[in-house]
Amino acid sequence: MTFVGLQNWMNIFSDKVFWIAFRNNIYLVIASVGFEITVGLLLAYIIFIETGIKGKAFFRTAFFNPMIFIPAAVALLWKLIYFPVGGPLNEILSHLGMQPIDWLGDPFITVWSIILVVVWQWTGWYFILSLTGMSAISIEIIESAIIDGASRWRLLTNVIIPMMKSNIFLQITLATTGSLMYFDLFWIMAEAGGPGHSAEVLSTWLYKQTFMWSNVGYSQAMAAFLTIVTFLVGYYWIRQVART
Amino acid sequence: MNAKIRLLIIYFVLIIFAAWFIFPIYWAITAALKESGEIFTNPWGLPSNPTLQNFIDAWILGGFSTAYINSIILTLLTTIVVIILSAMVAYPLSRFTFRLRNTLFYLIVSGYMIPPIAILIPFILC
Repeated sequence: MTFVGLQNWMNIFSDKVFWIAFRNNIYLVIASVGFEITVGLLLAYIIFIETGIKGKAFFRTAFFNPMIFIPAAVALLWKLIYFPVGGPLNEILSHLGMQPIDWLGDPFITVWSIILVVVWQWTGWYFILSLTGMSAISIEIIESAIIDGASRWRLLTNVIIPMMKSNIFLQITLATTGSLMYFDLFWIMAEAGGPGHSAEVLSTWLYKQTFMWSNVGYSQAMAAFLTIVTFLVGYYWIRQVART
Repeated sequence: MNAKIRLLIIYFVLIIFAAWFIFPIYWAITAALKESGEIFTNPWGLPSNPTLQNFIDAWILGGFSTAYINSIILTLLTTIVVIILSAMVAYPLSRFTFRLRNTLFYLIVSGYMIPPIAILIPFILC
């Protein structure tokens, strides 16, 4: 046995696919915080504050609905929807007179197609979390803010968001750590990592290195890297939760 | 007048999102009732002659009978164990102050932050 020092770490940092995978994870973090949490919060606020809306129960169920599906089923379902020839999505595009798009075959589009499905599945989850957070705020505070003449936007930014801070920090914790270790959809929808490894994420690349090519040294350095990054990010945000 | 337009815009936004979240499900359910050729020749319509053959195939040929039993066992056991244990652990952590309380808290939470793929190899090797 020989001691290789930091050779495994050098190998992962000089690997181009590793950086592509890491970049895709960053995209996923941005999408989850920037879209899933933001849109989830806004939708929850609409459902929460607008008293004139009918069918609230329907909208609540509809928004939460993707969450009850197992990721493997979601991946196969969307793979069929994205099917390039005769798939439902390209069928709509052709009816609108647009060129068909190769959703899972174009190196620039593939990763975003998959992220769109991740967003589709998880927005409802953050919607429900936000809604429970809002419902926990006592009604007197909201009523007195409305009597004081606060607009709905001011009510959201100055009263509701500050009061559900720990809830939002918890959502960010779940979203960032979950995005960094995300595996399922990328594994099933882009089996070979997409064209030219363009839709590889750290978890799928790690899995391939370990179980397909048995590069255990390389993959363990990567596992350590992934764990450290996830842990640092998660630790930072969970501290924010505990502090508020 | 103003309030009416407001309400209309709100409904519009809500319905767009609801459609986005529901249509793939509609598609999955109708596709499950179609013969396999029809899924691509008629992607958005209702099945022309609905069949339950796909479900029978999945149950018998696809081995879903075993898979369902395994999933049910897994769900039952994890739900029971997790609910009992997490309630018992959370109680002292939130009610009492003692030495290393925060350390213990972060140690327990950190279990959530370990990527499952990263610990696969140590688990397989041991």
